[in-house]
Amino acid sequence: MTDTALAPAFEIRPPGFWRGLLHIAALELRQRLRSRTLLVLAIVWFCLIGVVTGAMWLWLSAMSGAYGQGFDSYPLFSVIVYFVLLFGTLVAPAISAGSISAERSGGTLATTQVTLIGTWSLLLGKALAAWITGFAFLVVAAPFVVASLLLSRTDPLQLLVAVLALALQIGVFTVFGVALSAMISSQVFAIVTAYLLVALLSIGTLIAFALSVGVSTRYVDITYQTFSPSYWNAVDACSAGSNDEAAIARCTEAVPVECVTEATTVPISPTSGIWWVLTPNPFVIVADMVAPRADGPRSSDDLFSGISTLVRGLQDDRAQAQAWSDCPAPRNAPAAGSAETGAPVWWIGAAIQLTLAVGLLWAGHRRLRTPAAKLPRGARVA
Amino acid sequence: MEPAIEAVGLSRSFGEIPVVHNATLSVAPGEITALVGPNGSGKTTLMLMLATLLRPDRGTVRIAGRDAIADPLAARTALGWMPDALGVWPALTVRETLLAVCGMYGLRGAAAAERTDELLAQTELAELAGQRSNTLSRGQKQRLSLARALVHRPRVLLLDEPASGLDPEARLTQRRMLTELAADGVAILVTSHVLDELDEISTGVVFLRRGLTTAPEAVDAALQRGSRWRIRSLDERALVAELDRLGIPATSRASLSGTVHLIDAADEAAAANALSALVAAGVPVVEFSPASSALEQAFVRLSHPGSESATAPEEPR
Repeated sequence: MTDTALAPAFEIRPPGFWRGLLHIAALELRQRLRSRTLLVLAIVWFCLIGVVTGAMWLWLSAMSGAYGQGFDSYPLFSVIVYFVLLFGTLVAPAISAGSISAERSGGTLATTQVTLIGTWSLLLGKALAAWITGFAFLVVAAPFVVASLLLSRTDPLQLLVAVLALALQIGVFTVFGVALSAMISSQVFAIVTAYLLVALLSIGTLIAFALSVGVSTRYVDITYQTFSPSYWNAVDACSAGSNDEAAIARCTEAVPVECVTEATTVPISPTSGIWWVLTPNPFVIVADMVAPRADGPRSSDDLFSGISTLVRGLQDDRAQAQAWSDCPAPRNAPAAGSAETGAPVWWIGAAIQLTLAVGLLWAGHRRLRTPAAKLPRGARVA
Repeated sequence: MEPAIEAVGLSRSFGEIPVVHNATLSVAPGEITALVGPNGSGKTTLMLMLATLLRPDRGTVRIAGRDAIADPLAARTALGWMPDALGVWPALTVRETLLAVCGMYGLRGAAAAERTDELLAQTELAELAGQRSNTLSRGQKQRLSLARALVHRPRVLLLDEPASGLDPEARLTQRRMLTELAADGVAILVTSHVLDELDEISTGVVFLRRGLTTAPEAVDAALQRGSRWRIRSLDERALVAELDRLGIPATSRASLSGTVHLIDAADEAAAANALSALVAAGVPVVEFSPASSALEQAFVRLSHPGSESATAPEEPR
């Protein structure tokens, strides 16, 4: 060709994928740092989480004082981490879903696309910048998260896992936001859609699960063995008019066991087919990642263990489907131990979320690619 | 010489509406070509396709010899584009903006700083280097936008309305800059509604009407065709009398410099004949000039190809 005649005075080389990505992220972060709104938001956030931590600690100490127990603020850690997650889900769409549509409406998107920055560098650089911004809110909250860890005497390993889990969730939500802002021209609509998507995961999964359970509940007639009324009458008679505990016990032992078979209708809600609906819920993922192992000494004292145990237990229908028998020997329902058979669920939820994020990024990339094949009606790429 | 910008048979429609239809143009290195056409004629769409931002439905684009559709990245290394929308990163200063664009072309560190200083000097933005770009005036943003398009020393410049909103002095500066760039061998395609502006700097013209480029021969003919001329004389009565005697119909109009008379001439030779007749008759003519620029006349003619008698609007000077 005539490249020699038209060669530029100095060599121009494309910055490449990684350098381009970091350049876009740095450019975005520099602009974010200049704006005052983020600083104000961070200060408000710091005060808010401080108040929540203090109030929660007062509440727990007053409660344990009233019941004369040794002071145990173990649940504090899970409450604070959940509060950080809640804030993350509320802030992530706001700091991410405007990043590309703002440049589009500001007229700076096309001037970037016409340079040697690749579309993936642009998209992922924006996502990285939004993620780092979200992570900054985590850092602002760090003093209180660490304080709650110390107060509740939690395993430091849990703190590490909690930070990882929160970073993962905030990262996923910011990627959603950036991808949506690439796909949707209107900045307001992109942000609203990002909020709806986060709400779909946080609340929508709960609604979907509850409705599925309701729809699939069957009412079955079962028979069960129980003590006959005459047996209970005889036992009652033993304690009537006597205060001698030993005598009552002897009398009760002597009552002949008499069993009857009775029928009743119970609702059965098989959850083994739909429990996975709950897994992409960010609160479930964090709980299941951070919860201490179920066989630990404090397996159900905090929010994380409670939720984790519950969701893992849903994988197994046997607990509720079994007919039971009180007679001849009273037995407890076979609940104990069955929950531990459930497998960890966080990775399933994380996989669903990541699939969604990758799909949205791909769609965003298609929309952002130049030369553009399609334009929405009335839109100018400049 | 191979053209630096070459578009053949470019077509693009949005939905069912064809916006650019079979557009063909070519610009040689060192040439400034004006892309003119009425509003909504598809100029910006054509520019976007040349700038590798919009994929044509049909046709080919070569920028500096590289296929801009198959390999946009190669074309972009040689391509500078200044859009009609003046977007700036509001939080960044002028210098930071240019440094950021340098990074997008793979320039870093000292090389980027050096290039930024050059551009600041070239576009006379050095004094504003530390100012936030959202505090710039429209004219200053225009200069920043042009500097941004020049970061990588492109061999091809696509400028969409670069002069809109500029004051006369800024226009002069910009015109000088573009002429210098062209002298360095840069191929420039520029759209503008200020046709006088283009008339002075451009060496070629592409006319776009309803998404269709007009054949170069038709444009040449339209540029050559005579039209309305304005005459001003120190002795107005002598002028009127002589025009009357020569049988040249004239209309008079007041202007800033006094009353002027407008005559229609079939071509330039007829205009020259009329002038020599007036001078020979002793009429003190101080001004004899086209009532509007050649490009303006051609614009009006080509915009209304049906009406043969169409004449350029009379624009007071």
